[in-house]
Amino acid sequence: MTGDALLWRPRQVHDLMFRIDGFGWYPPELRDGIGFRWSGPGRLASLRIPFRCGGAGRGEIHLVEPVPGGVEVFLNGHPMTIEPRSEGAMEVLGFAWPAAAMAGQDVAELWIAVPETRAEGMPSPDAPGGRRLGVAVSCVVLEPGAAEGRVPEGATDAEDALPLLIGRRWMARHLAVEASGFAFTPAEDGEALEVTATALRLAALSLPRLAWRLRLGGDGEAGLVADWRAADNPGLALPVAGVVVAAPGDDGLALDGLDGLASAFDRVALAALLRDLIGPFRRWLGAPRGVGAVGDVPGGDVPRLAAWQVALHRARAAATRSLAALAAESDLPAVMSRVPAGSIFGAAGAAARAVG
Amino acid sequence: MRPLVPPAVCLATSVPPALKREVAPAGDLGALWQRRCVASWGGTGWRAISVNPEAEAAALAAAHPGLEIRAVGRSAEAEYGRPFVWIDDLFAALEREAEGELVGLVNSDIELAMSPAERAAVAARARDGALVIYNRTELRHPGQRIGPLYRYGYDLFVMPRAVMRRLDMRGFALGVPWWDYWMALDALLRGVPVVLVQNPSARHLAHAQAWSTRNWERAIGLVVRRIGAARARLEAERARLLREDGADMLTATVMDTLVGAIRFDARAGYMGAQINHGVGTLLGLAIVRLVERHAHRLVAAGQDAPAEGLAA
Repeated sequence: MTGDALLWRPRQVHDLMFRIDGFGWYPPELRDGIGFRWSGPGRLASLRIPFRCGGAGRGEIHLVEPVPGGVEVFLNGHPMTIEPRSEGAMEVLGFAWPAAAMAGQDVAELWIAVPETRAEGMPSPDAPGGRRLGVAVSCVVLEPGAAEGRVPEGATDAEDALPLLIGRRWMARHLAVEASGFAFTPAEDGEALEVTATALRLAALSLPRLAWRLRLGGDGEAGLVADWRAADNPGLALPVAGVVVAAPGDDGLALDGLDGLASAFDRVALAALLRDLIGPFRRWLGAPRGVGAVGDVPGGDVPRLAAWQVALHRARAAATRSLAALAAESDLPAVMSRVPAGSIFGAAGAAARAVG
Repeated sequence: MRPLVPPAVCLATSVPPALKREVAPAGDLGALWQRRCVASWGGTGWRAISVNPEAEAAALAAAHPGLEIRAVGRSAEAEYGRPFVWIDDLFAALEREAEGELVGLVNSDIELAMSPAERAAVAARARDGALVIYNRTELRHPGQRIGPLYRYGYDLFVMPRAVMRRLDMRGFALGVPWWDYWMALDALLRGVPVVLVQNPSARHLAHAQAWSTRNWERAIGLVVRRIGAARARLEAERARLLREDGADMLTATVMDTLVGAIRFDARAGYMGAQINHGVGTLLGLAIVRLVERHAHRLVAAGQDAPAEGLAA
């Protein structure tokens, strides 16, 4: 038998002893020579791992001890079916991800949720009442399904193409949505998400407040409807009933509803607003709630929040595609340099700054 | 063209005259475990030799009649307090004994549960010029087949003879801490591709730590000095690694300073032991992370099961 009967599958090992990107984790610890971090104090923790994989794959979460009641795991918002196995005193949570979970992503964002946290019972200076502990993770392993070699990197999708088309520096100056704060409020039993941006700036547009409502659905599968008319925007007359993130056949994701807008400025602005929502959503999710309880689940429903995450990722992909198309067919610097007469943002927006 | 016979691998180790492994409630299963380990190393073109000080050879031959034993006239007892065998002596034995181009080291208390396909895959990768190394799987009882992967150590090394000749293992002995970290790190620093395999194929019956603090400190001293010597010639590479790591220069400088603060005699001054153990642990973790960038799992084509699961 020769060596090619088996395949060398590369695996990325993410050791939680080192610096991590995410929320809901305590500092690293060592026990019996094994490094790990406890999640907590909330029951949701996130890990963002730089990772590019064009297809399906499998992963493992190595725990230093089992978790009573089980663990929910989401990868980029997609729920994972967990296959736990004991390895001595440790437990390994295995999962396999579908290609959709990593499509267009350069980060594997894992959410790990426990049914409830438990009190450690040992007071510390940071937690006089004792820490609230979730799950003790030693490492996370990600294995792309590719059989041989590292997954090649390349600028192949719209996410990469847009900055190539219009320039990163220009994008950062003219298409980045800035706000002093974003608020997300689950509404209608979690079926909708109210979004409010305060002190919003986008190119020539400057608004003290802009609100809109997001609803899941639209194309039957993790679609998203963004509705500016349903929200309370005093002083503004936004006639946009809905911009829908849809998957029109083989063309991939797209925004449906922008074409009804007469102004190119408005089309670009709404697309940019949808494109930049995932970052504020992530920050809102990881923000402390109550008395410093990072990882508390707003609305109490992790699968619903994961569905929002998937929808916002899709919105970003669709908006990026739309912006790339708009950039290809119009002079974006000129378009975004002023709020035109007749804009849906009206006079309030037009009172804005001039951007050269 | 692919050869019809997979490449032969000659492994070297140093089997102790007696092995103790207390397993509740059975008691000492060390002799049983050692026999299993010895029996597991050969097969599909692989063979193993045990290199031991002359004083151990007769007793060892009586305990393991089939084991190929090569006696050496010295040991590391004066330096490390026990008759460990120098890695350089293992390498010298491999130079003499290996029929083919591939050689390796295995810790003597490791049972290899590798299918012929897995052995062939490892040999093929090593023949391409890589140093292939394995993490071990920790068992609490010889009857177990699965256990946690121990990511903080390496127990099987397979490489071409040409790679072995490039490695600088002076001062390290089998059984002394840090030799495994240094072998992997030295290979990386010399531009040798390192492939870490995380299949559950190198089984180890767990036991309490057997090495001494003194030896740990002595061996980390070797690692630190060698890193220092390598730094000058590798400054550009180090800068690239820092960039890829996202580590800023301040962090790197602090780490350098800390590593430089390791006192090779922990009793030499206030907080000596604390500094050594804290910084040494950090250094070890950094090496583990570096090596894990090259982690792989061997799987059967079209299947997702680990190779070991398909073996027997």
